[in-house]
Amino acid sequence: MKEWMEILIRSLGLFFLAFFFVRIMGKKHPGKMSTFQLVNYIVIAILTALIAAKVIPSFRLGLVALAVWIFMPMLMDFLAIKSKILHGLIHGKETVVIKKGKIMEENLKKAKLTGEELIRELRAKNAFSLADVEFAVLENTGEVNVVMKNDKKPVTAHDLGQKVAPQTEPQTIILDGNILYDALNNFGLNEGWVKTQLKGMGVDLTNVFIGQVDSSGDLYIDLFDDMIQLPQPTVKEMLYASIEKSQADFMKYALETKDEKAKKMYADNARKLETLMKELETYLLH
Amino acid sequence: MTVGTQMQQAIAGVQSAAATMKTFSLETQDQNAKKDFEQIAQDLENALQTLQQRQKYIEQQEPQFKQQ
Repeated sequence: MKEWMEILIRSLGLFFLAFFFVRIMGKKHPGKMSTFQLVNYIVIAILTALIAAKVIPSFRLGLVALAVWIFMPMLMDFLAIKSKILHGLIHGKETVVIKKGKIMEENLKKAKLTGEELIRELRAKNAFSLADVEFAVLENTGEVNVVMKNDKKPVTAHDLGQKVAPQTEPQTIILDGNILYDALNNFGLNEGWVKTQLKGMGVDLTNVFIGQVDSSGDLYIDLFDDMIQLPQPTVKEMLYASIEKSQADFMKYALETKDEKAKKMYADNARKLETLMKELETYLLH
Repeated sequence: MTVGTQMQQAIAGVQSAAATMKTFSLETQDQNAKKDFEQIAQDLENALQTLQQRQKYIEQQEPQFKQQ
């Protein structure tokens, strides 16, 4: 066999082999791998390259080495899933580097992390001031994760004591002027609904680049033609404003009428609408 | 008719007007008009707050006028 033919076949075979095995070895992002996993992948890559380029003359011996480096990590991953103790041995444990705002110097030394590196990692997590950090842990991937002090955490709706409406993720139902039927069906909508909505906005389907529906059924669209001003979806705000107006009108009628019975009826209903408004505010206005 | 009742009537009127302005601002397609309506609605909301404070004050001063 000619030499170039042999290298071609070896390379092609190894190409698909490596592709297949790297795919089934897991979905971990290279940046999030532990050091040993990274070494493992590099060894696989080098072995593959060496066999393909015939630096390792025997194809079979090369495959044996490759198989060890491919199947051992798979076996270890399997054991790590089965046993908690083995998981600690194989993947290592995370190290606490800051506790209650104090740096644990011994742990830092054990993890071979210098002060500068720690500060750099903290900055990467937007913790520029050490005073803001309550707790930080060094993961076995080398990443530092940070818990800020309570008063330095970003404010959430919970902190403000405000109720917010539950929200599911919006679905993209129009892309490049085509309706995506799967997404549409997930929301229990159909083509007719989309057509009606678009007609209401005065837009043609072919002019829509992206259209998204949120959990409350509002359709937001972006057009190819950016010169056209679109009405923003305001169904919910409209509804709230109408309720608000009815409530105010009832109050007015209750004060104006001379009939005691009607007065009571208006006042009762005004109060009912007021409680309704309070309940709906989170759903309609935010 | 007592001052307290008149005050309540005024409040209800302003509230209604503010809500109307909000509906207008949401309904119109004209950006300028939208801004104007929003501004008016905001002004009315401010007036409403002032009136409500005033009403509280009146109720404190003249508890017998407090409406049931």
